Amino acid sequence: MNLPINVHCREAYFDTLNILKEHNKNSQVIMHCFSGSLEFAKECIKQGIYIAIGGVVTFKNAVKVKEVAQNIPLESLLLETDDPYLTPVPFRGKENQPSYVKYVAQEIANLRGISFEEVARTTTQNAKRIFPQIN
Amino acid sequence: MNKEHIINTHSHINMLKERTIEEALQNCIDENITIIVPSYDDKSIFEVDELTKKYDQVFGYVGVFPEEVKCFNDKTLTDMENIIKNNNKIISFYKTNRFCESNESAN
Repeated sequence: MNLPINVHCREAYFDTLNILKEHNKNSQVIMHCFSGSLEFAKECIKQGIYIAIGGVVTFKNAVKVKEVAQNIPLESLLLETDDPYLTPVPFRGKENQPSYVKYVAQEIANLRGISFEEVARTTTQNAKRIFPQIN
Repeated sequence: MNKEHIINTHSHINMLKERTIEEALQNCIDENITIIVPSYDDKSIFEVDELTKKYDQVFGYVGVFPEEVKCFNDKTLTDMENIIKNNNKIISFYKTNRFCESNESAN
């Protein structure tokens, strides 16, 4: 079917990457809820894998995710919320909802020193490359 | 609508408890946000299929959480294939791979 593959990798970073290298034919791959290091993110990107970042990036102590969000090419980045989990600041502790993705975009914009609009525009273009069904 | 379009690539909008799907989707419409909703077990694949047909700004993934693989069988796979074939708003597979410390795959 050659559909994109959305992978949630937890604490099995390079094992997952090796499986994808070995078995993935031509499908685009998204690393959902990315929690790995910048080094791992760069290895994924070398393979053409997209990095999806959610509300964790707004957490004060999320050093690794902030570092990834700040340093990977914007063209490899996707936005998500994973609601009802992982509610971003300023609503942390309450139920998450999909429209809170704007707080994820704003935090990434702040980290990178660029505009909210640039983050929104580029990540949307990225998603449309993977999913051309979305207009 | 002047707001920049955002695609939220992972939302379990069908699992919200404190607001209805309609309320959450209206907030997305107000913010020009499209969402992609993953399924998580053999029943929610149908739920996601329905959501994508009911709401313009909802697309879907089909797949199951690792803790739900016990419900995954040949029928689940056939159901997923049929949904994908008949609904062009189902746009990806969703798969969680969680390895044990022994490096043994959860599935």
